[in-house]
Amino acid sequence: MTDQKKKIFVVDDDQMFSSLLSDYLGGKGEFVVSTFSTGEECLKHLDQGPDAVILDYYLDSNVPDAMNGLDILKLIHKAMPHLQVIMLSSQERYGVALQTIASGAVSYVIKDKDGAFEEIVGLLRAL
Amino acid sequence: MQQISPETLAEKLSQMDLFQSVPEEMLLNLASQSRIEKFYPDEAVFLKNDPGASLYLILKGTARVHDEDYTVAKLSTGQCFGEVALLDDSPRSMSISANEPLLVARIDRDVFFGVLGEHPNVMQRIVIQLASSLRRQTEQTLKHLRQREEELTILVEQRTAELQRQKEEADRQRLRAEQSERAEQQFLANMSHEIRTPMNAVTGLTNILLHKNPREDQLKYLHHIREAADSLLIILNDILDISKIQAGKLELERTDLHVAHIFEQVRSLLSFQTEEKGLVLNIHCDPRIPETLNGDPVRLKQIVLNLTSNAVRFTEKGHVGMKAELLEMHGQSCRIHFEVEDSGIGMSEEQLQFVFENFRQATSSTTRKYGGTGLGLSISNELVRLFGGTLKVASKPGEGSRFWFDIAFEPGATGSVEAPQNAIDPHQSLRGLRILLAEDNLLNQMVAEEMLQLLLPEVTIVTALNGKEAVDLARDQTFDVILMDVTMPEMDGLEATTLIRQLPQPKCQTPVIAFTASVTTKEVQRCLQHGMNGCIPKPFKEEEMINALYAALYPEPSQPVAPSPFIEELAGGNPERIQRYLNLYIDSAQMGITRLQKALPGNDREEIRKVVHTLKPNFRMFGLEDLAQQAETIEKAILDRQDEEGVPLLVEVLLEGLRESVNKMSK
Repeated sequence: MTDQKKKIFVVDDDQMFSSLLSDYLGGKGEFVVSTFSTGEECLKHLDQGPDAVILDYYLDSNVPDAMNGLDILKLIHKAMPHLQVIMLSSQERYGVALQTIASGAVSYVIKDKDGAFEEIVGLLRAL
Repeated sequence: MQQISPETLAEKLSQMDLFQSVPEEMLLNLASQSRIEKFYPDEAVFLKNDPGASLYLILKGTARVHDEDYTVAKLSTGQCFGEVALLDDSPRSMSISANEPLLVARIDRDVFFGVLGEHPNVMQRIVIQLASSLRRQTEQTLKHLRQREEELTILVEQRTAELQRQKEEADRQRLRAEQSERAEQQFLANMSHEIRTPMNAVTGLTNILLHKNPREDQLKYLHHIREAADSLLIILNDILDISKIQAGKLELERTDLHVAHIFEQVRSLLSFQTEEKGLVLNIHCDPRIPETLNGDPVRLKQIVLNLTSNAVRFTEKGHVGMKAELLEMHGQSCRIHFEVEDSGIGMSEEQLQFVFENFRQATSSTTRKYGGTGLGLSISNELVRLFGGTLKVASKPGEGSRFWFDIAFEPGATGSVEAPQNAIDPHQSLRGLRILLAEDNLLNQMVAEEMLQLLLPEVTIVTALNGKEAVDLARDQTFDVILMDVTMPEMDGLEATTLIRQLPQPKCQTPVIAFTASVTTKEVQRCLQHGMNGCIPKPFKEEEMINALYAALYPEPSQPVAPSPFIEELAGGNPERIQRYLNLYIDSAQMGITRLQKALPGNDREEIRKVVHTLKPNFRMFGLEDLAQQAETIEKAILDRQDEEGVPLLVEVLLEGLRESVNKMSK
């Protein structure tokens, strides 16, 4: 199989989390991962044609005035309606999940749940 | 067919509201032109969406108005239906069926208008009547629909309640099952603890006496006591192993494994017995077998040792052989054939059938003659199965036995076999130590104290009877190392260690070695999680004591240790990557500390919430569940605006934990 690797964008202002996730995905050998600490950065690079975006819900924890994940999601959806976006959050709140799905996210993954990384890989493979 | 005269029918028509003001001769005219129709029970007069232009009057029996299966209304003798069809051509809006034998008079639209058209006054009244009947019907239908809706709502509520009840019942049962499973595990751990504690005293005191120049005859008895105690320990371990296997609780470790090492250890353990019996021990270890493989060395050794010691036990003269042969290599992975054979008493075909069953030796007389619990082979059999192989046996009475199995191994971490233990004599490096010994059982305390005195030159030992005393002593005095029993009254060893780790520098750094009778992996992990540096299982052996002390006092120039299985897996065991992740954690935690410290005086809720929200998943990934819980509590308190006054205190506690975690990860 000489399938091209899937290009994945990870957007999270927490450098530790995005590093671990990108290492984990990179280690699977089937994804090429780029990380961005703000949604604005990610939007600037959408022309690289990612296969999926993994987007944190709260993006203003470390960078004040950064646009939040939901607004970025809406902008991504507007620019590339078919681009698959997986939303991340460390909050298990139904309302938040519903909101992101309603705004076009394909799924909503709780960051600190056991097996969150496996879940993300599963979702990416299903794309 | 029932005969009804037009007069009778006219009489019935006159009783209907619709025809009340219609003169008699007109009714007679209508009656004579209407048709009498009969329907069987459940037969439809007409169905929803049928076309139709007739009015029906029920002469006998009852009918139902329905939509599919749902009955909207019931009609009985003297009532009419279908009157709307006199006015328009829309299809029927409901179905009508007979409930019991039904007799109706049918008046078609053209007959109706033909008769009444000649009398505009009468016609006007009838149309008004029809319109009001139509309104009544609509109201009736609406009422039914509302009623139906209410019924459905109640039904849904009932179903939901029932589902909820079932779910709760299932939860309760699951909880009960979990509790009983925990109780079982606890019993196992307790039993292990209860038996090991007195055994510790027996073997420990025997060892001490052996060091005190006993007389010749005493020496003999002491050796017997030690042998008996050792056998008892073996039996105990066998029983614990088999119960763990049966409970599906035994899991193989995945670490580096050296086949040649294991063979050498087994040879050395059995050398005394083989020499005593005058047996030849043939060992062949295929040199093509990769030096380092990945697997569980303790369990592989247990299998080989069990098979070989059985072979030695049941062989009076001749030889015992053990060999490992490389069967195939796939890249770095390989399959290895292990075999143990002897020239001993052998087994009959009948005996072979039961050889792997629990508590089964070939005959009960063999137990008396050769000893053993009869569990060894079934444990080995299960262990081989856990390794993914099958233990097989061939034997004939008087011609010896042969046991073999094949196991596949993944390659181990690169690098050669670890260098032999450092050349420094640990006994000398441990000269002049000050040791704090916390142990509530006076007998065990004495055993440990005496043993340490014998083993370590110029040792000073201070004792504590519970965790509280230990913490006080650790604070007020300086020790090189603390030996801490885990189970103690008043304050246990885990809590005491946690408190010692909170003492000011450098006392918080004093190595603590758990001194425990429970030797489950879980227990060891629990000790390490509470900040202990190592674990000595009771009853301890001199060597284990020395090694644990040495390891705690002279830690390997630190290879970073992965803080959680998740990080270990992510780093693929690569020390550089583990270090990188540790650094990432430290950066993130330090950033958290700075921001929380800044946010705390002004009570900046939003900032606090942002920080703990970011840190929370990081805690989980690094196995810091306590901190994750704290972060969650704070976040919740702020989001839900509950216990808000408590937030600053919670943040203080979290800050403390954060600093501690940074210290731990920096080491």
